Amino acid sequence: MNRFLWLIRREIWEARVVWIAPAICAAIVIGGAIFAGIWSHHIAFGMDSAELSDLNSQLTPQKLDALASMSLAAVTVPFLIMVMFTQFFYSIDALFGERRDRSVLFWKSLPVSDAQTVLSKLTVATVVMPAAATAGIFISQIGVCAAAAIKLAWITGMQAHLWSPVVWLNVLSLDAYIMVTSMLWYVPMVAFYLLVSALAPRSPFGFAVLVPLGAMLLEKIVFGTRLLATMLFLRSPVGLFAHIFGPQGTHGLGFVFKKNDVDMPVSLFSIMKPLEFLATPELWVGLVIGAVFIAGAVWARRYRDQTN
Amino acid sequence: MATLIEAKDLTKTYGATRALDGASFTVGSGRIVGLIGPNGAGKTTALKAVLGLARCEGSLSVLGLDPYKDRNELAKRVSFIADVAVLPRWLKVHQAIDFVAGVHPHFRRDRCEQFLARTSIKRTSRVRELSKGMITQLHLALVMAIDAKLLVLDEPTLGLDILSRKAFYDSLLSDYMDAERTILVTTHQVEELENILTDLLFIDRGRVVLDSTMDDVALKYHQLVTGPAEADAARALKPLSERQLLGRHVFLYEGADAEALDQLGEVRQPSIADLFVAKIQGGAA
Repeated sequence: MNRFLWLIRREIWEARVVWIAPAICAAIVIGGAIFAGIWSHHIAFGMDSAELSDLNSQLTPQKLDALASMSLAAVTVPFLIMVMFTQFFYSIDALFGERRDRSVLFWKSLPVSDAQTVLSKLTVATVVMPAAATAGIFISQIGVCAAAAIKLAWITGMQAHLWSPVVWLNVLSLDAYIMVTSMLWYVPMVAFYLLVSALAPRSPFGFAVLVPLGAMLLEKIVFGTRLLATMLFLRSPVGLFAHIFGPQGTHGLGFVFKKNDVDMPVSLFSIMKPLEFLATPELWVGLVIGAVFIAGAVWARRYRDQTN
Repeated sequence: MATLIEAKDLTKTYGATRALDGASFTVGSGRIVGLIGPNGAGKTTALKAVLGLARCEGSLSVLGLDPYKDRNELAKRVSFIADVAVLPRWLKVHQAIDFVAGVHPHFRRDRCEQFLARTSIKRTSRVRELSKGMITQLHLALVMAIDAKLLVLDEPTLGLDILSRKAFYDSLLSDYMDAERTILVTTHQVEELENILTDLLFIDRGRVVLDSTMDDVALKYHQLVTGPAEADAARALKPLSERQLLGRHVFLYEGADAEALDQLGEVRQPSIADLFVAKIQGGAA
């Protein structure tokens, strides 16, 4: 096995949160779906079964497919929030923890470069964690779909649309799209946490929170602007959605529910805007800033005395 | 004897303090060198320089490499054990073996397994579940299985009981050491190293105050134990140090005539600890 893969494995041995967090998240989502299925009289969208049945008969099969896919895609939201938190806590400790317990002396006694080490930690936070979350999302979607199918079959005849290949093609594509774009989108944040983790003399948590807050305050006082705050807000799931789904990303993705119809995109493929996302300057600026932070973290691990 | 480490005028300052102040020394292959000095003398800084973990002024070559620039290349040929606390506490024994086997090109798994088989360390234990002695044995097992030219030990037996310390050095000598290998070790427990070392390197306030083979030390340094009557005559021979012990006077000489000393009382080989005290306090006076 390749040396880099060993470094990744090492990280997963240490940070079990990589798979435990998505597992817990999936358990909550599936448990919630089952709980809601048992206790709620409403299926969704604030409609009762008669209204839903009515709507069901009005909608074209194509629209039903899109609606089912969209409902299942909502499962990604708690996972995206979970990834933000686990990325944060994993990354601020990734280079600080080994200094605190002096195990950095053991890791440094092995022929592994500092760049490889730092990149392995970046990879865990920006690739492995979103990938594990995506697996959790998919499992949750199957669970939620099963719970919903049972409930719907009991009330209406919609189950055919829940299990249609079109729905799952849509769902899987959307999962993959969100995963890949969010990996790229969060790089500067993770890189910043890693830099803090490499430099902080103590409490990387404090530094990771207070440094941006201080910078925002300073900006507000000196220039009277809120550029940094806007930039940081953009790196939240809200900002991510605005960039990967276009302007409608923050406004229900173009789904408008009416009494007897739903205005909606023809398919979920039409709401994904990969080319526009790739053309967003914020994406590339973020990646460049991330690269600078990572270079700083590698430099700090390489050249700063790690054991005093 | 090939030269493994060559250090000239190593200097390192941390703020106002000089951790190393023009230290020069060489270490040849196949030697077991004890780097000995009081707290804050610069031992750890010197080791860090040799391992490429700290940048120093002056020139330093380890295995023909500049340790600071070529740290990764050096790490393939140099093993290192700091004190017992550095193995990460969450790591499981089998993970440690797998990982080192995965990243180190010169790791021989069978040797590591062989050594561990003689201990009571379980493969599934985490480091935090092991005793200090076991952690040191695990670390030693990992390091001994690496085909390295140079092994650097920094206070490897700190905090261990006598049995563990003895087991550590026994394993090192019988299972690890051969003519191809070199060990550089720092410790405060000098008496344990008495019969192990081939070379002595005393360091005090950043300077090397003694750099000698043990054989030369035996020829050059003598300890004389006399009664009070001979004390003045003994002092005339310019001892390095003098102390009184139960009414007897104990003198330590450098380069004195052994026969002349013999006239005055009982001549012995000084222990490393006595020599250390004489050298370091002599330097301070």
